[in-house]
Amino acid sequence: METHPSRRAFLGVLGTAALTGCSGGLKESSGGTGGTIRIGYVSPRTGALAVFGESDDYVVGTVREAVRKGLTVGGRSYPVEIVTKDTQSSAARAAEVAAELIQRDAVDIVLCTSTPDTTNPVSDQCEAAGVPCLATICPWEIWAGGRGPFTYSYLYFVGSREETDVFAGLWRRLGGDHVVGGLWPNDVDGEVYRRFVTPKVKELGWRLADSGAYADGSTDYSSIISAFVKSDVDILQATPIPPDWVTFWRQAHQNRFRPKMVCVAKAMLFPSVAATLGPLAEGIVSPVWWSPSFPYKSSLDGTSARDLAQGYRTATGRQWTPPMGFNHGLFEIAVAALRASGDPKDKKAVAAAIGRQKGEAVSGRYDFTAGPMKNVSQAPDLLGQWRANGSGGHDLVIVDNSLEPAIPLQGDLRPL
Amino acid sequence: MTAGTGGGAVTAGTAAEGRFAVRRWSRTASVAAAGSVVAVAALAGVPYYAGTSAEQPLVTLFCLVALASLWNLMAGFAGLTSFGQQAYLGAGAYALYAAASMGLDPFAAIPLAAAAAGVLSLPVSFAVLRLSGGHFAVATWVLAEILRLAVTLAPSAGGNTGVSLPGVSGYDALLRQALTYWWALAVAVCSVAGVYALARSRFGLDARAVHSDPVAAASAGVAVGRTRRWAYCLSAFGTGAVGAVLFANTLYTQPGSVFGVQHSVAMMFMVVIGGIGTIEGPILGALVFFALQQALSGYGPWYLVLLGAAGIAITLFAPRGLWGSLAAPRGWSLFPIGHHISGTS
Repeated sequence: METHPSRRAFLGVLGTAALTGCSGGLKESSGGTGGTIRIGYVSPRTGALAVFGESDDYVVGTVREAVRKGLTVGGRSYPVEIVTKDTQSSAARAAEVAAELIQRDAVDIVLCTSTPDTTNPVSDQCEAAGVPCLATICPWEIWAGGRGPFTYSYLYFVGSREETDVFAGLWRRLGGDHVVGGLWPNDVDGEVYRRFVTPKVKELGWRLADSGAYADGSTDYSSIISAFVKSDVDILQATPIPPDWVTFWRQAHQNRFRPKMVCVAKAMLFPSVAATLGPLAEGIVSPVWWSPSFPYKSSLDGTSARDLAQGYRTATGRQWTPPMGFNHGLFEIAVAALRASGDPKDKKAVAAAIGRQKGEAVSGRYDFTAGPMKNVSQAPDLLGQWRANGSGGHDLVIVDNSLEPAIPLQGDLRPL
Repeated sequence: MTAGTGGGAVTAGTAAEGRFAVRRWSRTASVAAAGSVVAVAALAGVPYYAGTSAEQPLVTLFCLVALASLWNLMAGFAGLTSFGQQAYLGAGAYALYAAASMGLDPFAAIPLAAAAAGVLSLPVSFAVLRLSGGHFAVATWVLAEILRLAVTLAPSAGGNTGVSLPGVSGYDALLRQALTYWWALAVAVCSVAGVYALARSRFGLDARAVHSDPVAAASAGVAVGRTRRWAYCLSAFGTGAVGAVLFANTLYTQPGSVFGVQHSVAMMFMVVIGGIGTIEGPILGALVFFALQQALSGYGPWYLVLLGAAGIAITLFAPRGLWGSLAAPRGWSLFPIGHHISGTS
């Protein structure tokens, strides 16, 4: 290892020459490559997490349209190209496509979204290669835990600790003492909720009944349900994957397990799951990261949250999904940072510029200068309750806005 | 006639009245060996003349070649069809994490990670090698699942969230890429050359005897248990090295992905379509698998359907694998491992 400096210098020179040669040969012309801003976008489009990437075509399409004329940075105009990659819902594949974006596509910034399986490996690749990276839809505690220090990679999303506090606030509205049942599987989200909710319940002086770390994909919940019934659980806090939640909640219904409040993270974020449950979805509480009722608009073209959701519905016939707002917001922050960098081709400058960003996107306010830690902008977490809407479906109605009063409430919490 | 097993050579020897010669090498083999050396030298220079965009896919390819050869060492030679080699991929990756967390240079710690996987496989081998056939395959898979669950339940190993490789931030990006590339190349070359050398040695003869008929092999004086144990542990050692290299490449590992059974499926696919029990087969299988992966990855779930269809077609129409069907009828052998016997009288 003593030969590092000389070998590094040698490789550096040769490698840089080869890299420039390669990207020049691959793309239209070396002049064109140098003058184009390339944005890489990594998300799960197929596999178990496909529901997160469902709206990607539409979101990326609107962004492409908004930046069609290019960006002007430091008095120079650059065309913008967006390169998208599918992780196939695998962390290993996410690392691989991130490396492809960095090396073959020579992108100037990488955006990644949806679950730690995407955000963590992609951020690691970017951090090691010295390419600016912005991630979303992964609680910041999970993104930051055991990793870092962060120079090139940033995260913009809600936090699990704050989400736990918001849930606890809602529980306290019921008054009196309660028993919280935790349905936490043997996966990342289950682990994190167990870590944060367990001390919270103790702090409230209540009792906790933990399901134990059951395996994702379980089909028989009768023992967990009977344990919950035996412990008199009247508040349920669950973070299952969507199919498991459908199974669990149907079995709970059959076994007459009917808590006063049912809070479900992850599984109940998506309207498609509420549609599967039908009348059983009524009254379930779920976090709201983003909804079309948010009073924000795109910083790229002024499209409001409502119009973004409506546009998606018109284009695809499908209902909006929570990731839409954040994925769009990611592009907005990236564009703002590229503009502020002074030179979009200078990776250090772009990375540093992300850290100075503070503003408003269609997803809400962001501020990378305020913490909770370096390179993280924490988004507020709201709570909603699924309610039947006259036309046979269910809508997520915002019932708690304590973290961001600027977003209007849409109704009062109703116990089950 | 090329004797496929040790038994064949013995029969020929006792039956022959006159003098005969055993030939184990050929001009083709010399040319192939020389060609391989040139090819490896050319590949070693890739970071200097081709740059990182060529390194990335080649790292994947080298890891596939190593995995296929190591799986073939067990299944093709010693007759051990394991479905749980991902246990050692994971063991290598997490051993590298442990070593790097203690402050060791991650690239210098790759041999340590491989050794850790090899050491782990020794006590395990006493349990799983009591079984054979399908029972052995299932037991190895169960072992991989046990390791996966153990890591999942260990917060110090990152649990289900997975861990990032510490200690790489100090490296220049180009150098890190090149080091990963050279390690992957070294692991692939050592795996192929190691299996080649083993297959040509006394061990190779023993292993093939054990594969053909363990009882007959034991009665002929072959130490069946020891032969299987060597194959199992050496394969685990090499697979551990691949696990560590893959981790150094992706920089992030997760129990759900590194301990996934899809790795075993890939190893089996490569060996079976390439040609089991040969040195060339797994290399060819890895090339085919890699090409299919690159060409079809854009088709989403159809990729797996097409891969499966290719596997079915080859097992139906070329049951000895691509190399087996191409080479055996024509007597080709780039890396000969058999005994070619001819009468000289």
